[in-house]
Amino acid sequence: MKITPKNLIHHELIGLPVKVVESTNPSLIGIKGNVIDETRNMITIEHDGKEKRVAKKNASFVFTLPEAKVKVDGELLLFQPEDRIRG
Amino acid sequence: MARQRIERLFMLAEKQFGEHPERSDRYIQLARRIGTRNNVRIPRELKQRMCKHCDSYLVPGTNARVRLRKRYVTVTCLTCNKQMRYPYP
Ligand SMILES: [Zn+2]
Repeated sequence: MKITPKNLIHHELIGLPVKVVESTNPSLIGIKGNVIDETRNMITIEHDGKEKRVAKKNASFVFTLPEAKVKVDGELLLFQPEDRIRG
Repeated sequence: MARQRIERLFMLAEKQFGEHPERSDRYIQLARRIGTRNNVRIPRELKQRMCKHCDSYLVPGTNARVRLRKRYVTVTCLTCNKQMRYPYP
């Protein structure tokens, strides 16, 4: 099963290109790069060779899939990565 | 879905091993958690690329030693020095 806009929030986010498009912390907006780690509350993004940790809460992200860009509200990702598999 | 994510994490572990081996180990740890939480086994061919004792991603010749014995293969993890045995054929 490949990653589609529909199953993205249950799929593996690590490795995907992503951009932070909204956040209550303005300094995080615009961070972009590949996802390199995920915890319950944070996504780590490799931005210009540096690892940036961005809270899932109060932020939204645009993930780039091969055939589409998908905007996701960080609230939907607020699980341990191994618990995001089913809705 | 669990199976796809496990395979993807192993693929990512392989990709990162050269420059960021710590990420590879983290991806193995995540893959194992996905397996346990969702009752999905790690496929046999992938299982032999990880240390079941310390969750390291194993690359034979680099951080793992592989030896053929009479009825099994032993894989020694050079990070924790523990062994795994896989029967063959
Ligand atoms: Zn080990």
